[in-house]
Amino acid sequence: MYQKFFQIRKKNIEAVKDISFQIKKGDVVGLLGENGAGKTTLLRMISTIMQPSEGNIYIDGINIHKEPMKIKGKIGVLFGSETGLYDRLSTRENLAYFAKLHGLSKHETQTRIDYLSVRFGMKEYLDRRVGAFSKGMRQKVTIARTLIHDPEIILLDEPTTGLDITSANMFRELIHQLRKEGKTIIFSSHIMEEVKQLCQSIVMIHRGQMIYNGTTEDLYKQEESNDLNYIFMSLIVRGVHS
Amino acid sequence: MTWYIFQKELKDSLRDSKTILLSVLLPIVFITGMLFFTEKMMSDTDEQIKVAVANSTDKEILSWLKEIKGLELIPSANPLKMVVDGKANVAFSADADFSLQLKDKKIPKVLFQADPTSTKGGNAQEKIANAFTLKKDKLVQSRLLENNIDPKEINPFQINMKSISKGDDQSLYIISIIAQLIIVLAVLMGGIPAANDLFAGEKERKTMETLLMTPVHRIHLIVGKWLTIAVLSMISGVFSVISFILGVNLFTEKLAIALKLDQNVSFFTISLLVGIIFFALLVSSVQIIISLFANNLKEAQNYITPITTGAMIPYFLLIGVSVNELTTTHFLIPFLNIYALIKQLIYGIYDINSILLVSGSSVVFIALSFFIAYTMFMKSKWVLGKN
Repeated sequence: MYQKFFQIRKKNIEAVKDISFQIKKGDVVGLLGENGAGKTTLLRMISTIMQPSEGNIYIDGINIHKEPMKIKGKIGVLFGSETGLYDRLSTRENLAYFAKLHGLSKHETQTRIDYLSVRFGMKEYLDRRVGAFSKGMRQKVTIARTLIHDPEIILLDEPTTGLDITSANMFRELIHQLRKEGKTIIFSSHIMEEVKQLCQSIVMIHRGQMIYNGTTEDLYKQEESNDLNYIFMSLIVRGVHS
Repeated sequence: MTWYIFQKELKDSLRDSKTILLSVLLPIVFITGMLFFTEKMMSDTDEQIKVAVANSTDKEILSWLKEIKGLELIPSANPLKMVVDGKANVAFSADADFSLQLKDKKIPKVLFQADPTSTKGGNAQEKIANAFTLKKDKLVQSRLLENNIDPKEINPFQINMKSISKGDDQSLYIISIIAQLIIVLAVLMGGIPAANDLFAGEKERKTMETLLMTPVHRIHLIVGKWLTIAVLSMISGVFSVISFILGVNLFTEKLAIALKLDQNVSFFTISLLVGIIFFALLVSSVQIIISLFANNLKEAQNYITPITTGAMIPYFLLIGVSVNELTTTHFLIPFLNIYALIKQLIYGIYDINSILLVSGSSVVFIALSFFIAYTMFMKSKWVLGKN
């Protein structure tokens, strides 16, 4: 069970304010909002690299900003189209580096690299430098890097943005598989259809404030509609006026 | 963990062509160019100087000119035009009846003209003026004797000027200023690509974010990166010293004679190595601050260029200071102290106190700059950038 209540200020602007929600283990949660709503800031705070100015985030009862090292190993993060890979290193070197940083032994690293290279079809280019890869190839290496330490919680920030249809579908399939494996996933998106397909629950954010938190089923019942686009817009209007 | 991060960063940096270019190739090209230029400049002093002499010049004066070594006399109807056209270094003319006027105790005139911006022309003018002054002094003496006047009457005392150096002072001075420039520049430049890439570059590519999400304490990350930059700076510095010594001995004559390292090679090597190591550690921590200050690679390059240029200011401040004038203060001020140390070593002064002063002062400033860098690295604002 994860409990969160936090906010962050950037100078006089409150990037995220009064957000509080819980996520059950194994849930896939969609973080919905327009560009600049505060989704990335929220994910950065959950990933421990940013500190909220007020409030706390707990994972398994641990305050992640007080004891970040206990939690970091449990989280895998992927920030959108930014692959975050070392171009002059090969796929294997990139994966081995992050495995080591996550404290994996040589044997564990080798096993994980073998498993992930088969899973994502990367065997052919395991020993080639990443700098010369296509966007699709880089994306696969990035996912493998995110999963190298077999994290329990996976944070994905707009993972399908900028991808072609095939790569985006591959990503959606991956989220399905990870869900089956019992991983807890929080992924941000502004593509309503994607969220509808993949998520059991939704957190909607507008201008840094939460306007909905609950299951998709409850949301459809509450709003008497299955059209997420329509629901999102009407919640924004109501949220702004409330 | 620090060691592992250092190994990875070093491997990554060495695969960057910019690092190889700035750490290895640039010092070779720079050193070779500097040495060839210097050697040519010094050998130019032995070259024949072209003097355009007016056709009407008196024969006796002509014979005086012929006595001066290193002059090539070119008869000309218009000597000044030859200098203006660049065909001669000095234009010389004298009264046609110079000897006759001398005999008649009149005052004949000689005129030599040169371009004031030409070093060669200026040197030639000085050379001819000195030779003619000697002739004039002899004439004065003989005339005084003719009139039964002791020449001592007009020379009440003598002025003697001597250099305290026993060897080739000029060559040693040139070696010292080139060595300071080359070694310090090499250390400064050697770590720049890595410093820019490992902080500003990683921010831009978002690998920094990924790194910070791993369960590794930031002190391991920054120390690993810091050591990488410092080692690359050291490699560049050491490489420049080797290239410089080889270059001097292989490509130069006068400089090679002046640079005598056989007297105390081990002290020279160890002292220089200590100086380079401390300087590299200091420079790399300053470069980390600059790189953290920048949001991307381009910004980092823009910031680092003027700051690197600023690091050359102590070099110019020290150019006019002789090795005997160096004081404790010179060895305590960061950046200035490395120039002072190199200067002292080139002049063959092996002083353990200087090394200790440089090391002690460097440790203080390294600790200070690294503390600033670490504080910045702990804050999201600096480590992740504006975006």
